[in-house]
Amino acid sequence: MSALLQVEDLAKSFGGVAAVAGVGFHVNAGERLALIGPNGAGKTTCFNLLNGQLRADRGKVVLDGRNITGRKPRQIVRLGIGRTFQIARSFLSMTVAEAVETALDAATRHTLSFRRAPDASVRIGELLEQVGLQEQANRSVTELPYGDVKRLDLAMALSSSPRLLFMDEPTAGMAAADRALLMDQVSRIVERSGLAVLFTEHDMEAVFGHADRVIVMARGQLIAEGTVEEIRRDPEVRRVYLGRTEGAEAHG
Amino acid sequence: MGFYFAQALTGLASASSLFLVAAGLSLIFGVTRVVNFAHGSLYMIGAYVAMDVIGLFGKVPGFWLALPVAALVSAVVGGLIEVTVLRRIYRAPEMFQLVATFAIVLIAQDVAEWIWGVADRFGPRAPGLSGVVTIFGERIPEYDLFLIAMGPITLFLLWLLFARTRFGVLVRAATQDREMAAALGVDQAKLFTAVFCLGAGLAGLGGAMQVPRDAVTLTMDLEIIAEVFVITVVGGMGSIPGAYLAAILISELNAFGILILPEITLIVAFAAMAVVLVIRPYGLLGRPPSAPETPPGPGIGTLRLPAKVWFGLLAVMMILPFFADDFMTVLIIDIMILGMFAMSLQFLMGPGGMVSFGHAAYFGVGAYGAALLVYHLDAGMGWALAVAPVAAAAAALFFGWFCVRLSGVYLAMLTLAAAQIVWAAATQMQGLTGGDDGITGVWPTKLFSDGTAFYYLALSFAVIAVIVLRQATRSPFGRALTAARDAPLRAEALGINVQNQQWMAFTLAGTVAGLAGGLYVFKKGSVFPDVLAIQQSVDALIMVLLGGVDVLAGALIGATTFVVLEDVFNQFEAWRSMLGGVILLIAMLAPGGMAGLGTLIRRRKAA
Ligand SMILES: Nc1ncnc2c1ncn2[C@@H]1O[C@H](COP(=O)(O)OP(=O)(O)O)[C@@H](O)[C@H]1O
Ligand SMILES: [Mg+2]
Repeated sequence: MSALLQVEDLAKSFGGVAAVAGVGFHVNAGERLALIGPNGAGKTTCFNLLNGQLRADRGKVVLDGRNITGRKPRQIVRLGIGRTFQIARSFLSMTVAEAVETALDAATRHTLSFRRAPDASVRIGELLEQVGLQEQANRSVTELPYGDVKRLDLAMALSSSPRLLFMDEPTAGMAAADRALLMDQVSRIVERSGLAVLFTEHDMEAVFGHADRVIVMARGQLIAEGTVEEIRRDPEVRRVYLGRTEGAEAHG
Repeated sequence: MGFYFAQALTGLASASSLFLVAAGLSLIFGVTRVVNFAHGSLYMIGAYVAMDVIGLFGKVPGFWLALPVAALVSAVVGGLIEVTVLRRIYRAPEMFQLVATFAIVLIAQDVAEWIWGVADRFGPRAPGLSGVVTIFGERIPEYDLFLIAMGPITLFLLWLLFARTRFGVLVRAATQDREMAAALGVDQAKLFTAVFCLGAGLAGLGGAMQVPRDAVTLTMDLEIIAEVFVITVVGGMGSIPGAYLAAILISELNAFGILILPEITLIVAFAAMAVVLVIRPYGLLGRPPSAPETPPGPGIGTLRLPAKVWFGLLAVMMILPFFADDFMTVLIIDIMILGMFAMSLQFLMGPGGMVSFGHAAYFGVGAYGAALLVYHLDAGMGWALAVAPVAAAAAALFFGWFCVRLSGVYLAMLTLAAAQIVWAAATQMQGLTGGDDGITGVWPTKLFSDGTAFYYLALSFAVIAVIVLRQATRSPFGRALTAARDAPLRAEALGINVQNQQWMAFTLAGTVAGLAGGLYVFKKGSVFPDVLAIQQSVDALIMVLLGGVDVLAGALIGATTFVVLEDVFNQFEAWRSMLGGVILLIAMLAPGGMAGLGTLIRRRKAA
């Protein structure tokens, strides 16, 4: 079977900095693929290219046999790709339920309507339950602890029932116990819906515990690809990344 | 051939003054991030001071003395404004800054009238440059050549200042990166004051330079500001070479546009601006702001008035005519009409996060749409009231398409320019609109000529406006709009077409404003271009600001306060300054408006 997402020679420079310098990889249907690499490796830029927020200098992105290079974020989400953000910026004037409802309205192209979608509350409940926010439904987004803002971001990304989900450092800024909980929730969603996930993560426990496959990026390029075990043993990866992160992890 | 050459030179000569004023505005914006509405006032002050100096010292040496003295006086006035007002509102949302600087415009107008009187003044020709030279057989005023030279000379001097002096380095640092400037150990307060003085001085010099060409009047402040806004937006906010380029572009378009469309040269300028902005959203030489723009509005959350309160209010309004006298009834009709206008702006600014400085355009198009139908086609009141919102919707669709491509102050300036175009059309297309004489004799049908009947008509329209806007705010439409305001990138990534959402909101706000405008015509029996003027747009902003931008009902509170204040202040000579003073106080003390005060107090208690 061919891959769900095929990325070829993707590149983007900012001024003189080649943030992403010719990256190619694929994501299989239903798989959890981790994209790891030190800070500044180009992971977020990669996500921004894939979801259309940035325009690539060159390269090609193919979703399920369809070339989606250069499309706008709102077109890409309609093709079945959802994403969360490294720094979650949510709709601060809303409650949790309202934010999810807005995301649902967007997914169902309901945003010019003057009437609420009839079955909205059921879907809102389901989505909030998936990420463990059902208790917080009526709280204002401004009152949420940061971990819950990231959960809300995930619930919103799931509202379009994507086939493929990009998560940019889903657990950054969370306490250790909370991280494990969130990653378990994500795994359960994947199992239940057959969703494929491409995620970046600094927490190696989360990566090794929850990824089916790992790709490693450094200075804008892919330097390794393999199963969790292979990546653990790869000397190049250990050199540019693992050795350093374990030190970095201790600082924050 | 010669004729076109002469026309091109005229354009270049007009560009210089505009450039000076625009450069000052751009400079101030670059460093302080404040769009100074009062910049036109500083230009006007420069022109009046120049007249005084010429009067005191005679043409020679008076005129040549007038230029530096005018620049100096404007610089000092600018410095005073910075120290007393702007310093306190640098952290306030853009809307408050704009409205506060507009309050200064109001105060400056009264002060100028008090010092210099209402009569227009005509300056002398510049001594030594009063002749003409003949080029290609065309007679070119020598003073025009002087003006043409002044543009590049000023540009060069400013370049020297920024490239070669420590002050210049600091200004550039502050324009490009505020944190870095702070790290360099810049005394921000002093730098801001100095920049404000410099920008104000340029405006004053620009005013003085225009004295031999144009009459000095009390309306020149707002006349120039719209044009200067267009120039800074086209050139790119914060870019001085951009301001020069744009000043030349716009002036040349005016010089030649007058040959093609003598009635409405502003349309040519607007078309040019539209083209530039579609291709380069931050202007010819402007750069996108480095930090993501913070959404406007105080962001203290969305308050909602429960339906019970609305029904209670409606009940009171229903029985009011039985207790109110004629005068009260008329006053309340005014409040309802202006309240609808203000609510439509609140919808745009609150949930939409778009600050409009030209919302009068849609009120006015509604008013003129209704009046023209009655006047030219002898249509009945029903038809006229149906056409008013439709005409306004069409105008809002058209201008909104351009406006939503921008955000923040750029959007505000573009809305103002759009309104100025409609205003210019109304004043200049005499055959259709009657120009400054307006359209009179637009009275309601017999049924509604009775005050009480008209009251209920206005009330039912106001109820419709409340229902539509309240539902729009609470519906998926309004929520997606708010999402686009709160986190535009997140909204796009969820599939919301941010610009489209804003465009539709702009159109809805325009439509409701147009409905209010239609009613207004029948209430007054006439319409004049001033329903489209900047003042009318700012009145709506003041109402929203008075009541609080976060609540629909705030606009009604604001409209009520405004109408009452106007009624009280109207008895005084200096009522505009009084209004200005009240606005300044509110902008500085209670940025949430009156409806926001409640939230503010609750928050203080909670904290
Ligand atoms: N908008 C931008 N403008 C300029 N440089 C950028 C921008 N976004 C990212 N970069 C640069 O690109 C490189 C990769 O950044 P990023 O994709 O955020 O890395 P990661 O997510 O792996 O930490 C960094 O050097 C970063 O400074
Ligand atoms: Mg990143």
